[in-house]
Amino acid sequence: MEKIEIENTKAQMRKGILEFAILVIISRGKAYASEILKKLKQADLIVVEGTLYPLMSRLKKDGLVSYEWEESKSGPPRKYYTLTIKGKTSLKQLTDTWAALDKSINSLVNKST
Amino acid sequence: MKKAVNITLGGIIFNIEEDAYNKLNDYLESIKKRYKTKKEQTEIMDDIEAGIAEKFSRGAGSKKQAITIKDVQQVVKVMGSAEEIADEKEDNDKDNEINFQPARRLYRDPDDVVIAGICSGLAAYFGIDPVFVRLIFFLLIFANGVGILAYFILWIVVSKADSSAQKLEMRGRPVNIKKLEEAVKDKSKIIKREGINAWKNLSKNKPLIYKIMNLPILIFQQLINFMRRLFRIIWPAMGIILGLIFALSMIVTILALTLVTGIMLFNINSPYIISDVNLAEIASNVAYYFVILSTYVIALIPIIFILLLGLALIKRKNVFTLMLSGILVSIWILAIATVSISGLKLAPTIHQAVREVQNIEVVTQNFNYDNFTKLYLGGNFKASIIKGEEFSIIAKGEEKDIQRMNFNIEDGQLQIMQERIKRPGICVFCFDKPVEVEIIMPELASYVGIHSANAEISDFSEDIYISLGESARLKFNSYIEQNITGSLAGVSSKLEIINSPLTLDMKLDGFARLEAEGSDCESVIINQDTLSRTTLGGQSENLQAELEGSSRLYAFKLSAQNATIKATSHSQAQIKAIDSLQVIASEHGRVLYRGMPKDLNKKVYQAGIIKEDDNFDIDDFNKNSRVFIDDALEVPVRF
Repeated sequence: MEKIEIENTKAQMRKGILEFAILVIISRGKAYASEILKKLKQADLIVVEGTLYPLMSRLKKDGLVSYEWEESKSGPPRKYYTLTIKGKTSLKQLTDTWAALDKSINSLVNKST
Repeated sequence: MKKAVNITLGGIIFNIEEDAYNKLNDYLESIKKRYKTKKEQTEIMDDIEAGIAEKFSRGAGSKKQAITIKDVQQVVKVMGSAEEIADEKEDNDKDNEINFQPARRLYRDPDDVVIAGICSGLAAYFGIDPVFVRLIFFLLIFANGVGILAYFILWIVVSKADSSAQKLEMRGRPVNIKKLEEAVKDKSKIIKREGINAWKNLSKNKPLIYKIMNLPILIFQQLINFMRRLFRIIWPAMGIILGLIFALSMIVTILALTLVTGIMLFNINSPYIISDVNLAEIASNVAYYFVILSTYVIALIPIIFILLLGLALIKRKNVFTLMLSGILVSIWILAIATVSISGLKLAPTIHQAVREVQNIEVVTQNFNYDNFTKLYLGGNFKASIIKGEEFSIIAKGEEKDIQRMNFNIEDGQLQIMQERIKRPGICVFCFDKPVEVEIIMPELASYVGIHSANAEISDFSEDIYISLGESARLKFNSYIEQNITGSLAGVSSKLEIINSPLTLDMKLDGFARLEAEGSDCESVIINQDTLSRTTLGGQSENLQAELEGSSRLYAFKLSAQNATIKATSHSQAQIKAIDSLQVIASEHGRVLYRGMPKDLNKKVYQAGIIKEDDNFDIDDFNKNSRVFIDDALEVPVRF
């Protein structure tokens, strides 16, 4: 019971910052779905890959990212995502928010130990 | 051997076994269903298919092998189920686009609690200050406790906002990172307080039945907490006021008691001590002084205790010591013993003195007044009024009492009044014996009694008006053709009607009492107010009663054919109606009825209650029914 709850909390946390993480990844240069997924997995921020696709679709709809098709050597063309200007501003804001959140969580954690 | 099909996925051709194909197809369809708009659907599905294609082409597909169900299962596991993939935020955003306002939910607010956080939760829900909501609930308590009931219902139904997300929902703010962060900041401030309240949270996720079972305990705990908070504020002020009242009233009592005791002990012949008994004679016995002194002590010690309690309240410090209490209690017990012993010794002397009082000479005096048809008695009389041809008035009593009687005739009314005794001091052993008056007269049209006039009227059969005032009592022997009207007012006035008049019409007020248990009337009309009480029995064609001011009407024993009852402002009526019953109950008026009236008309306003009596006695009904039905049918009624 308790374990499931903790897992759930973890998932919620990951989900909450997933959007932020994706923007960070794309901000370092254009990327396509598999690359993004790979980095997210390395950072242990995503559990099931399927989550990424609707999220990318929404970011595109919100005008934070845009994509262009590029040919690949080993298969059909790929969608390469880049940040828009709006995406860059959002990322800036989210970075600040994250810093504040990180600080307050740390202060809490340190206080209680 | 398995059948295989060819498919294209993300622009690449794959060879896939049929069962694997079915599974993959189901999986993709389940994701597809989640998206409503066509554009969104195509885009996301294309992306997902491309993603899957990439995986296949890296794995099984690359080796020119057919894709098996295992491969599909592997991919599904990595991609996640349709539920996992669904972007919850996406759904929320869509809702918000329609509503324009973030969705609010009603929660109990655990951070701002007086009892259970209902009021603060409601306040957050409506976006107003909790003080107003609490005020409304408090006021609603006085509307028949609606507030309390509503509160407990909400308590059971509404869950507590435990997570930050729920708290944001409670306040109607959109749940996003920034808001969550704000909430976290808030949280760190109150985290200390929450630790204290942690025990409360233990029961937060218990099922409803547990809540209900636990409710009395919870209510009790919360009530105690609430009282404690309330008490902490008003206790010091209240304690001082209460202490002052105690102390002051006890000091006054001690002074008065000491004064009386002093006079009784040292100045028994003082003109301020009045007694019908010869006190000097009693005082000649030494035991008298012991009795008075120890009675004084017996009365004094509890008063001292209350006085000390008052002082303790004012000083907010315990002034009782074990030794002080011990001494006081010992003295008290000693005093009781003294009173008992010396009282026994004194008893014969007192007995003798009282006997002397009772043996006081009684004189009889005749008064000659005639030509009156109305009577007014005001004073301490015991009167007996009898029908007779000749006028005659005879008074019997102590001479000084008879001398206090005044006679007057006015408009055919004989007025007999008694001057009040002026007592200049304290009365010890006073026996106010009434003067016995016997009045014989041919006709009586009205009777007025006041000031403890106690009378019995017999044999008059003409219509009469009766009025009783303060402490007046009357026993009236009525006749069948007689109409009685009148009014009863004043503390402990009482009219008792024996036998039955034809009609009875009475107004009652101020603690008056009316008893008419042997009625066989055509009509009974009763108007009652202010704590008056009426008991009726027998039967009547019509009963009409109006009750107000917490008055009571007991008429289960009066079988009325037709009854009209109006009970308002906390009055209560018990009625038995056979044919028709018209009832109006309002302002907490309460009417219980029996007799199964055929025609029943009920009207209830403002918390009035009308109901059939639960303790309905079937035998009683049978017996009473027979009175009406047997004569016609001569068949016992069966049920």
